[in-house]
Amino acid sequence: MANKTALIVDDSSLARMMARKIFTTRFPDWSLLEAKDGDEALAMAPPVLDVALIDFNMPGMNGLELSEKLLTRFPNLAVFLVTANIQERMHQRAESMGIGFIKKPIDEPKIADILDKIK
Amino acid sequence: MLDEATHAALMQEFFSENREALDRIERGLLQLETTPENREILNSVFRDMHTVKGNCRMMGFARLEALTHSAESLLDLLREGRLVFDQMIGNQLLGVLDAVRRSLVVIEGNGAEGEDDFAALIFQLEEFHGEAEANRPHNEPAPAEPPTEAATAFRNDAEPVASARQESIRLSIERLDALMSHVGELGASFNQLKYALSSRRNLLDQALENLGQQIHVLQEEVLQYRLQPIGRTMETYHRLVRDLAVETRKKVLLDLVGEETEVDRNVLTSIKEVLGHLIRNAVDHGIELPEERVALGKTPIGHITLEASQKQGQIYLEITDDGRGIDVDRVRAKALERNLITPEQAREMPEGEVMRLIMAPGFSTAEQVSRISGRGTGMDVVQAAIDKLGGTITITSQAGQGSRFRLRIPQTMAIVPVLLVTDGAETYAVPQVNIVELISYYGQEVATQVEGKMQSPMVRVRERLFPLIFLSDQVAFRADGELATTGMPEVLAMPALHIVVLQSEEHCFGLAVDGIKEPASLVIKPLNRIFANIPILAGSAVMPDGSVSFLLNVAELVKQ
Repeated sequence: MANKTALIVDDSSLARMMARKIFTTRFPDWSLLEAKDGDEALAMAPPVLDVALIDFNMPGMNGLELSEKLLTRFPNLAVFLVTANIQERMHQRAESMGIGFIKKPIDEPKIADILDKIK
Repeated sequence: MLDEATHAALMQEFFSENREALDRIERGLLQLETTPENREILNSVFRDMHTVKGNCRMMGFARLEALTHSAESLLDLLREGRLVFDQMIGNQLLGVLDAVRRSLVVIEGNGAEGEDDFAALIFQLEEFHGEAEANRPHNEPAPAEPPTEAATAFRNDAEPVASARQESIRLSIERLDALMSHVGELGASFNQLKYALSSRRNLLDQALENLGQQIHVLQEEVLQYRLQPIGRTMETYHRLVRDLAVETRKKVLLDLVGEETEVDRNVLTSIKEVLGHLIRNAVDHGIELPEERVALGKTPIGHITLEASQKQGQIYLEITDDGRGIDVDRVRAKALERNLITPEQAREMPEGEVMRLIMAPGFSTAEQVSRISGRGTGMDVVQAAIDKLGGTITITSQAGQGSRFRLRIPQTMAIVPVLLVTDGAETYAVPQVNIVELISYYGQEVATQVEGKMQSPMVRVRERLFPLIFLSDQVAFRADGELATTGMPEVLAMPALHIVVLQSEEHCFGLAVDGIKEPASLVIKPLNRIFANIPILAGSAVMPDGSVSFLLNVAELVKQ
């Protein structure tokens, strides 16, 4: 399997660390990039990106705004908003852009579920 | 699933990130004591509490999660302005910090949460939620970004609670309608009085004028009660767009602007479907598939903007999309094919008018009926609904760039300022909003001001030629359905010509009438069923002498 790249954007360092652990132990052929907010994510995004896992509530732009920007740059990117709970209309706005959801907290089965679908 | 070393590393991060966040929250809370409405601090305190909650959830500390969730909900109310930060709230939140810190120490010691379920603290936090609920203003549109379940639950309440502080009133719709009807009667009585006294005018004039003024103010006032922000109606389109996007595999983002714009609730009910139809069309026909958009050099996400604004008693609604636009040549060809226009018309018709053909009955056809929009009864229904509201619609579009549908609709329907004109013994009302000017020509002037162009009379007003339409032709409902036409010879023989120059969207024309009477404010009622399908009539009103007059639909006259 060719190397794929994922991006996690979360202002919680614990959440990023958890994702890092899951990726290195269970999905070693994926490379994972970490950003603490939307601006950082946009600045570091590589030319090719396969999956983005984005926290909704972050300083600066929120997850939905970042998703829109990333999707504009990477039309085929699989974007997932990581949320505990989200207002109905935000949910609808995200879905209308083809964005998926992961219920907080992220764990191995949830990530596996997503990565398995991206071949 | 994760080994011990990994878990240890995560726990270390758990403690250090939480402690940093708690320290920042503490500093923020202290700053808020002097600047209680500093949104920046409120936002940052909220986010830190959100992080702590997320961390507790991630590591499986359910009691801490419940406590911090409750604190987060309270902070959400503060940052939305539903509650104002005060020392009591500050103390409460500082208490939460202490409890969380104590609990972290316990976890550090033995790896598990203590027995404390923080029930008392959570109960106290929730007391404040109740207070916020009581402060909830009447008719409040949904705030921008409530992220917690608690906040969402508040908003789902069907009946907003009226608040003493806001000094708002609650009035049942029935009572409001009754009040409206009384005001209408009052207006009618005034008109009767005016009629009865019109032959003896001296001191009465001033009194009548005052009375009229008062009634006018009262009418305006009552109409205000019926106004509602359009935001809650607009909100519902997010769901519509989402469903359509999923179904069509498109990516669409709907943006709403002007949600605070106030519209009469009757108008609101009527335009709800119209807007839904236009948005559905925008997704279905306008926005391209993501791969198609990318190939065209566009962003994969299509944007639709619904914007509401209000100006001089008129509501403007714009639906703009950045999709494929309307192909004018294709519309022209199709209209020709369906015999909606003649070949000459096809050649001469300006683009703006060609575009309007998509709203002509019979334009959409069965062969291109899609499941989502278009059953052959698409845009003509939109046009009919807007006509009924006394509004107009304009379409601008550029192939490949997108389309814009602009609707203008009166903010309220009930009372319309009009000019009364006559045709024979009948009185008709022309909406003041469409009137440009009034002109009368006598004797020789008629011949110099009116000229024939392709057999149709045109009137010259300050170097500009406008089509001249005769009201008598329009209201002569002949059995064969054909319109009567007053030709040039008849016009030139007229001893006098009274013209109301009217404007509807970009069209200007002269309406020749038998007589011009006075301006009035009429309570307009929907047309009786017998007249309901006559497009040039928009409504009816009872006149001072008890007769019925009709309100003319200027947008329809243009089409004649």
